Amino acid sequence: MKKLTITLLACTMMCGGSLLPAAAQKKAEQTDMKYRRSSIYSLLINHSDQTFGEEIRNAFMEMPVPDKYNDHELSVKVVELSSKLKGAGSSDENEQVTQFLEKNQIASRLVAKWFNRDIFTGQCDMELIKERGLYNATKFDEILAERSVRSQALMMDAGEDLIGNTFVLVNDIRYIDKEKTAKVVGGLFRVLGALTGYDDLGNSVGSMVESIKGFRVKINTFLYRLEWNEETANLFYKEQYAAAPDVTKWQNFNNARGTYKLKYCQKVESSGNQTSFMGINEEAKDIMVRKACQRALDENIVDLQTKVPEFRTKSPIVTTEPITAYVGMKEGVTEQSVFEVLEEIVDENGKHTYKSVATLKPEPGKIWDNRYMAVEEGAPNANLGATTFKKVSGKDIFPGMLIREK
Amino acid sequence: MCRTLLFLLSCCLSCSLFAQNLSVVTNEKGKKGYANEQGAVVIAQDYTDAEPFENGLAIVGKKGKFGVINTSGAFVIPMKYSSIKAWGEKLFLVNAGKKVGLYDQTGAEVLKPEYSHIGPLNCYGVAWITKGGAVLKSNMIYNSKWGVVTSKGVVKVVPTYAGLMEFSDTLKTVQYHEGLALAINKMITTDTMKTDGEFLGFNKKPSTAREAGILDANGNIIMPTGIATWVIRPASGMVRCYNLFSNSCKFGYYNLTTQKYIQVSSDNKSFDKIEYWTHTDFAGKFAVVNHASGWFFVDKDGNKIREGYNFVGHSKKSKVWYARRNSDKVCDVFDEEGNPFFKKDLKIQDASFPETTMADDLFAVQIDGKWGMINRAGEEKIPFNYLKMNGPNYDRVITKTESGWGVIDLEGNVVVENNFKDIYTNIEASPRYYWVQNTASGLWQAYDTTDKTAKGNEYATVYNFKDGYAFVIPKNFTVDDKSELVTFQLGTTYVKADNKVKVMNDNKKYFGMLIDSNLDVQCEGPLYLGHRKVAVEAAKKVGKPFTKAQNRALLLNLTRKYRSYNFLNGKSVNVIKEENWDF
Repeated sequence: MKKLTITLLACTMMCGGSLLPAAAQKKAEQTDMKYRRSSIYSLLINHSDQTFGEEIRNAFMEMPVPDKYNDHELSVKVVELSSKLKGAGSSDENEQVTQFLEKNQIASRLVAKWFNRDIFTGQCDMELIKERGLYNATKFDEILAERSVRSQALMMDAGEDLIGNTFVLVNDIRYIDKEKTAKVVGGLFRVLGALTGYDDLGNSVGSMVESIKGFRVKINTFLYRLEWNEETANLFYKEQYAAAPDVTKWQNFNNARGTYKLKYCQKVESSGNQTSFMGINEEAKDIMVRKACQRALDENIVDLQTKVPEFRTKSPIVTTEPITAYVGMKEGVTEQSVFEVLEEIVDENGKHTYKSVATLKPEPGKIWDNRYMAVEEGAPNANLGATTFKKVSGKDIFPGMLIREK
Repeated sequence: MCRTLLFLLSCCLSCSLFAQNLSVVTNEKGKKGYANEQGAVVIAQDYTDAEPFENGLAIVGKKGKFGVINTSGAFVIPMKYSSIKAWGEKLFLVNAGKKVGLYDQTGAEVLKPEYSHIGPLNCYGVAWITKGGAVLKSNMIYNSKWGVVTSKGVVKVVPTYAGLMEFSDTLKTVQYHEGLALAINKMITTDTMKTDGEFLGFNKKPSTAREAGILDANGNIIMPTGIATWVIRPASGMVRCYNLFSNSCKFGYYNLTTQKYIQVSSDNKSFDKIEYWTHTDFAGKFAVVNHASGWFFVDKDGNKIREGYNFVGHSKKSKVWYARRNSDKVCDVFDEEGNPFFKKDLKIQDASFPETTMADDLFAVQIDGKWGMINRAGEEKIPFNYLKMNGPNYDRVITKTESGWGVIDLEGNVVVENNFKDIYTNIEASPRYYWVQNTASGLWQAYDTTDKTAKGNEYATVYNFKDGYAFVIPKNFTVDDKSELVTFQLGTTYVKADNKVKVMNDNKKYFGMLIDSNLDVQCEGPLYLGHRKVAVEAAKKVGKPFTKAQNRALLLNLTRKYRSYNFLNGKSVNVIKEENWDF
């Protein structure tokens, strides 16, 4: 397998360089690709009163931050509620959730994390900004030290494209107990009968049949966005950012924690659809729970991206003949999806902007099923490795350009 | 003549096109072909699928069928397969509906598509191959016969076995019987083999290793089924066997050459109650058996060769056995063929043969109550001046004199002076620091071999430096066993309430700090020893001692999985205390 190097201005395809199809690429390379991502912090409201409360909690803690986002997690991940969340069924902003975020000053903590602020001394740095902003570290420091218009432009860029794209997901997960064995089991037998012609399915298949008992979760996900504007930024840099331990600036920030805000964006609810547990042994309840939760949560993220354009993620184009990208059914890609191709432009001050240069649609039958445990489930297209697209309009496309669903 | 000319011409054409680097091009109808570097379409855009050329060949497809073409566009493998992918050493794995096979790059059939599955190759270049049965939608391989194929497409073990297993189970949970046992094959299409397949277990049923037989690398049966309940990977032509019954066990070996089973020992206890080594693998001509009467050596016919020992050791590195006689407490030291290890007849009372030695011909032995070092010729290389010796451990030897413990190198030069109550063995060559126990305080301190001084803080408990960091526990180090940052490091959330106190009490002694190679405190903790690795990774990222905030953030991170807080406090939302936040 050949290693693929992505550059913003790559034009190797025009030279006929032999690039392996995306299906041949290892998934590990996906996370090595450097491009700017939004950052998220994800919280669980767990219901300790319900069955599988512990399992749901464990499953949630095992779930990684989706690879299209930066990990902006804080030390508190789980809160317990021994009853239903008040107003959970409404599609409006949830008062209790918003109050919880406000009273616990989550917005200020997300800002503190951006600047690696020492909670005891107030000392800050820009390392995370540099890392996630993909700035040239040395040049960044030089420009910042100038305290010029260029410095301001750089900080505005970091603010808009990075800090301002920090999101909080509050997930209220409840288990639904419904058994639908008879219908599904019958269906399973029919499928296997057609495939193998065997009457005696043996112990291993028997255990798979048994495991398809009703286990579903319902997830209400509330999305918030960190507010970061010029005014907030100026105040922070002037009175609260300390390059070395500073009692005054430490105090200023602590006193100002309440001024940092999260803006409510949207609430979505998962469909509660049945998750297939094919290929999972009945003993492995934790895997069943994880799969059900992961699929439902991914579904909510896709739903939020549809409703909240700022929450949509960008993905780099991997190859151009054919056009492929590491997105798939997990990101909600369907044959009706339309993607725009973005060319990233970086000016001399380091400011990043994106220009839409082309439009793509997925090739029918070539949408990668990258949902959690799709391979184990034996889902068709689970082994594709990437989704293939066709260009509908626009100019030439190069590897490294980004795509984003319209 | 014509055909030859045509063939030669097409080869020349292929070569010249190959040299041009063809790339995939798609027309406005979405059909694909190949263009040269000048952009001219040289292979018609006739395909729905076209992969880039590699080694002058490309996989193409149309209407759900796939084939392989060369750079002149001619089919090397006809376009009649439901899928094709590169496999092994320049081969193609073709799928003809429900059967798979292999082709080479000339288009010659290597394995006819009559197999139900050919798996991915492992790092040893072998893979599972099955015949019959079916591959289910869940990717399970059901009711097939199993075999082994190499990366060249050679079937080494013909797929005729319902159960085929590897000696890959390291028995980590089973004390006193270490070795490689048979592990059940998971029978999933994505599974690779775990070993090189030099030995394999086979059985009539796929789901048990009980009473399995053994095949060699070429699929020949070298031990039939039914000989023993449980077998360990062959060593030196012998198979260590266990026959297990409800209230007794029998221990023995199967000789692969004579094809005879030999019982060497037994016990009237069930296997789970056996708490001692019963018998070892053969190393050379001998194995050792443990019995109520003591240790004895057996040969490959099961004959007792030597007996009457209360202690036995073996070094794989040096290929030597040493066993202390009950009668006179003198060691017999002999090689794996049974020949005396040392050329001189010496009354060796004890010996040290570490596996980590870097010395080719230097051995620590005790003679007449004193330790020194000799070579195989029996010549003294380091004088017998020591009360105790342990080594060589890599390039160092731990020594003891009347004044205390110390360290010498392989030339006998002092690395650590013999001044200490105790000393830790090094776990790498030429370490900078040794942990030494001060006689006066009884505490441990780092001895710097560069300037031969003990320096830094003293600690009650220490662990060796690894990756530049050492885990230490200061004297009177206090651990708040009510703090969640402590209890959750032990993961006691899922332990029953009445056990939590016991778990805490049992493990309190494993909380400490991390120090760096400057002997500065990197992480003041309290850090549980089991999280050392995570702490070291965090330390490497930071590159300097943790601040108080970083220390707290690390502990919060280590315990995050188990910590949760009330969402409500009465009717209002709960405000979580500051000490639970990292920012």
